[in-house]
Amino acid sequence: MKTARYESGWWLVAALAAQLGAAALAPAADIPDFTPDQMGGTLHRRFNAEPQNLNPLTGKDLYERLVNEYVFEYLLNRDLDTMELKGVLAERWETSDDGRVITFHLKPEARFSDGHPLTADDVLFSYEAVKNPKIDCRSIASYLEDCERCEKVDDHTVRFVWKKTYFKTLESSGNLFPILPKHLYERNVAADPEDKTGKVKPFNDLTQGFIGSGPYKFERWTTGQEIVLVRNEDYWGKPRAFDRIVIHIILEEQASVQAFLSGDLDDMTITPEWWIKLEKRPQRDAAFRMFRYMTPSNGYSFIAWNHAKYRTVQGPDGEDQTVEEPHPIFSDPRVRLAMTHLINRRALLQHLYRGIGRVATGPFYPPSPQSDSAIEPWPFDRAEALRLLAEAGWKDRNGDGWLENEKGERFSFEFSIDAGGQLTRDLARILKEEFRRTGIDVRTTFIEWSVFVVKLDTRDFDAITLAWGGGGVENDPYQIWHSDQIANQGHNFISFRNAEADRLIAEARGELDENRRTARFHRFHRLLHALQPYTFFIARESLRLVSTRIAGAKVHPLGMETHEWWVAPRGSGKGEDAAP
Amino acid sequence: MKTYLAKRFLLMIPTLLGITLLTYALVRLAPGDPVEAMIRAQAGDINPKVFANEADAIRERLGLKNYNLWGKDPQKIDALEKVVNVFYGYGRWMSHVLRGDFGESMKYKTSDGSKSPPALFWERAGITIPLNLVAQVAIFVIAIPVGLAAARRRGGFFDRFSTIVLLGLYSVPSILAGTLFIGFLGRGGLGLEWFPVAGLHSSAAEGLGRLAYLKDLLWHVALPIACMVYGGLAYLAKLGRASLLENLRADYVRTARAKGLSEGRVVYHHAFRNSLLPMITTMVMTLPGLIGGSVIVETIFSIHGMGLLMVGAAQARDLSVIVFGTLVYGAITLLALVVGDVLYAWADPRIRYE
Amino acid sequence: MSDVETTGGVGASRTYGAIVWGQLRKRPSAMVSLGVIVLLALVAILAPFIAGEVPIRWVENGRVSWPIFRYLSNGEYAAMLGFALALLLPLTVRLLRRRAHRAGTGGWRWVFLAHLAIWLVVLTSLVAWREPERRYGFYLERAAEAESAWFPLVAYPQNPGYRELEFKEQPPSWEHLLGTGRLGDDVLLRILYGARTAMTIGFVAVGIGTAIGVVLGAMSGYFGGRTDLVLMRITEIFICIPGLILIIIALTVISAAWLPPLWTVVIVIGLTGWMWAYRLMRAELLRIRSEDYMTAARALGIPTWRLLLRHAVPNGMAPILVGATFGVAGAVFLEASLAFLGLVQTPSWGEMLNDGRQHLEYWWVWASAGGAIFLTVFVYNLLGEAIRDAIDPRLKI
Repeated sequence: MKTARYESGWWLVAALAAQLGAAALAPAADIPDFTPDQMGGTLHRRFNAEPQNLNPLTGKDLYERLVNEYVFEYLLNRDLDTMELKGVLAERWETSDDGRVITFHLKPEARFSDGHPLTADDVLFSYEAVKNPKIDCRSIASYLEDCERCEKVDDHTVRFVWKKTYFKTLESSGNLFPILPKHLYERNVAADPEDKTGKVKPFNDLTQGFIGSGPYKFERWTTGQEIVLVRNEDYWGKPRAFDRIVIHIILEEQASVQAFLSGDLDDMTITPEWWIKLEKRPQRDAAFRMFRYMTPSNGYSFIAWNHAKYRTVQGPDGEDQTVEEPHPIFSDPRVRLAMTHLINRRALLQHLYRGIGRVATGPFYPPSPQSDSAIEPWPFDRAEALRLLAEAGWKDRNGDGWLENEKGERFSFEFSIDAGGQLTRDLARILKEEFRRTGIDVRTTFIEWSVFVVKLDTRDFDAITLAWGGGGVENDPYQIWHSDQIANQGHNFISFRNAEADRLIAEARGELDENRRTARFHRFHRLLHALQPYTFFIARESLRLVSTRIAGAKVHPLGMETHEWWVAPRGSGKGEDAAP
Repeated sequence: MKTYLAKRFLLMIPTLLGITLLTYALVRLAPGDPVEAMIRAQAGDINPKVFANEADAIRERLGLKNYNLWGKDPQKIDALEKVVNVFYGYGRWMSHVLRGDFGESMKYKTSDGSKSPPALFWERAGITIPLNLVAQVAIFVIAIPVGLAAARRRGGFFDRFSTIVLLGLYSVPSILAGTLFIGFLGRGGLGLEWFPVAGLHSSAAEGLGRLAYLKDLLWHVALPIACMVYGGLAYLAKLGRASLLENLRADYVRTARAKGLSEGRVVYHHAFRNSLLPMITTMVMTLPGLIGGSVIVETIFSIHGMGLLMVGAAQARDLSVIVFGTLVYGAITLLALVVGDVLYAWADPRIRYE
Repeated sequence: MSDVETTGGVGASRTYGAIVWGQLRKRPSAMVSLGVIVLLALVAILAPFIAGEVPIRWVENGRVSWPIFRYLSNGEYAAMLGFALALLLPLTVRLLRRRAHRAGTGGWRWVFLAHLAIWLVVLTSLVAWREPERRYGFYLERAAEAESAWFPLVAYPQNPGYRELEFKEQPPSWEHLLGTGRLGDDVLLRILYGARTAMTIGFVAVGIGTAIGVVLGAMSGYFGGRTDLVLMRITEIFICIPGLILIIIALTVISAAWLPPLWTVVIVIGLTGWMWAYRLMRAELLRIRSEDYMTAARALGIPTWRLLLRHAVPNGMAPILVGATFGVAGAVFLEASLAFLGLVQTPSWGEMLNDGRQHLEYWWVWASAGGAIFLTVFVYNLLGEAIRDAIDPRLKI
């Protein structure tokens, strides 16, 4: 369907969103002590697409995370204000000096919604499930590659031992995967995924109805309509205010906005165009509040230039081999820089995104220390672009208005777009025309998302546009930028190979001192800025509407947290300090 | 007549086979491998070996497998072999179907997790069919009187005016109409905010009593039904008008009038009843539309119906759903055709079928 | 039309076609509809002259040039010349026939065919070896440098770039008579070019469908027996698959890169929309084959193909004409639905309508597109009704 899924799909990239800092989406605020008259009621939220499945390990999209943040819990979460890791299921923990051994002490009162206590056995079980090659969660498992083992010390103590020093060991141990109840899913994990006829369903095939330790329980998922969660009466921690959480699945944005304005929805994210429209509405402030904020998990959008082309040839022994060759156009960094100069990011930000967001210069979250804020984005400069292209051999050699190289081949490439999002289509249209005016022939093809993902995996494209989301406070660039990640359908799908980048990444990963690490990240950022493997596009902002029926909604440095909201008495939820 | 019916029913079989073969072949021949795409998108990170087996199992299940009939790698067969593969695959697929196994949907599942196409259709049939039925009845109820009135005042202002107006309504694309309804009559829109614009129930609907539940439902379906109705009026009204006119000109009407019967009795009791037949036959022909015809309305109003299912499946090349859907649609269409012919024969003794 | 003449009275006998035409002329609705249709066709064909960024005439440094002709694509040339041909054809035929009638010869047909062949050769040679200009000419930006420039009425780029983004979402004004859309594109321009998609889909797609249906239906109706049985089943198969689904699936199969996307849609709609013509033609032929003149012709030994081509089929064309007219209206609707589902990538009214409906307050976008669709469909429906009435008001088609 056209309008639906990834409309905010630019904004909420499905399968790829989970990759960075997977669990960063479940930050923790200090849950307030709700008074009795604040308790109760239902929160109505909205998804603009249906989750593929609600399996906490194999679920690949943002929607699954958003649902499971109510049902499952982690050992640690990030504090919304200080951005530090703090304990949820873990009471306290100790880290060795080199960061390789981490010992967690679990809260003895923690238990699952069926009453069963949560112990080290469950943590161990969850760890092993993630690392189990038969369970379909390789992206999460890749963060545990360097984790040697997890061992149970006693019923309430667990220890993680890592092979190397890595600045994210604490996060990857405590904030990477949710804790699943061993007694319920043991047999499913053990079941053979290929055996479809056995009585026990393999874990990969479980799609809903999971039981966790969180403040809410899964009640039902009516396909195409809604997902309903109810309060876990037996919750071991601080109760939340709402009795029920109903997530409505509404594909059309217009219908969603109207449902929101007529009071059927309490909370939804919207696109920039609607933001602008709603800002002028008379009902704002009286009926709803608008929040605009940036968090690390928003990520950034980009245009990726493929550095390599792969061909299959018949090897000497009759077997097929894949041969990597530099891409005829985009393997030259001057060409990529020229393309960046040709993309007027400021104008596009202002017009297509209504000024919401920031021009991105690199892969790191701009407000964070990880990003080098001294770097200015390359300006829009057609003359400079043409100069660079000429230097790289692309000029109009025969007066036909198009650029050609020495061999006379025209500068022509295919720009592959995911057919789902309106913004992406608009972007493609404008860029195609602007490139045409410069003498570059662009063929835009629109592909369905599932086919698009395949193209990425097989590296079968010239240029694409996409977005990375779900990043954490400090991101590890390894998955996307290291040359190790080119093979085996890793996330370095542009086949970016640079020895210095590899070195900087490896050094930063093993550096526990924050300042020295940051220095390396800055050097890495500058390197990418010079080489432009992507044209970094927009660092996005979240746009959210919350009805005044709900109180307690406020923006923290790490975003908003529905766990701290409650139903305002009689629509008085206008300010965060609204007195009950 | 009985032999005629038997013959017609017998002839349905090759047609149904043809339908399934055509859709199966088209979906199989489309370039690209939807199964691989689906698996990667949904479960992208499986160990490649596991993936290869799983993909094959799924392909077998969905009827999309390339069979290794010549001892070659199934990915590398040439065109002729591909065509043969299609027929072979079709044969195996049909053998499953005859055992009642319609395969599995790639993309959809019902509320209780079933992926079997019959279950999917059944779940949504409860929404689409009543909706379309009500719309059809509404069309009938509105169009017939208008057609009658136009026939009675033939050539007059009402006749010409109604023809133009109905034709005009018929010419408005349903996308536009739906949007206008939502924008100006829907809540949260620009004008009067009388009706809801998404779904069939309010969120609190389950808690309501029977009557209130019904009211809520009616309130939700008002706009979608209006959308489905406005365009269908023109054809039926015109048909009613023409049919009634023809009857009014017939000899038996003149006889009735000569006999001194009142105009009302002449028109309503005799002429009208005889003119109903072509309209009923037309309504029978709209039976197939009951399950597929409302895609646009379903999309615009976020109604979870069969039209959306079929279109979504077609776009995703979800073989099981497509084949099952066309089978059902085909069967209903063929049935409607037969019923229509039978009705004609029953009403008009001059028509004979051998 | 056919040769069979009705004795309508003393004096000149008229062909069936002439009678229908005479009836139509009496109806104002038909004439108005025809007028609008011709206007739409003209707009579709001459679109670059009415709206676009390439000037018709450009004088720079004393040199006069006509850039627009360099930029016209081969398809556009073919359409223009073809349209001119279609307009002149009836005139040519009439002239030739009158002369042949006076001279008493029947050979005028061969002369006519020769003329047609010459036209076609000229057309193809003009167009086949030509490579239209594709470079960006910067004409709008350099307008000040020219001594004289005749731009089209709506002088604006067809595709928006950064410059045009500045003018986005403006209501109708003197610069943009129908306002601008989300990306700064001129709505009027898009409507004008959208007429091309609509007309192409209408004429070509319906033409293909009608041709297929007529041929198959004639065979089925005339030969009966096994041919009929098999063809009926094939037709049933196509009828029994929901149209939209068939089109969507067919589009996934036929989405070849070598065909411009518009033509893919056109061909698919044509290949899936012939069933109505088949049934009508078959019914007509069942009726016609037992008519006296057919028996007479058979007795005279006229070969079957000539029987069908010159006698039977033309006499059965009347309901086909009605069906085709309604078919065009249906095809325009269908295109809008396909655009709604995101399957059409060419600029079209359906695409504009779908775009515009997301933002109701920019009413000029969806109102223009919706209005254009409505007008076209309405006009074709009116015409269809008028033809139907003109043929025989009692005919229950």
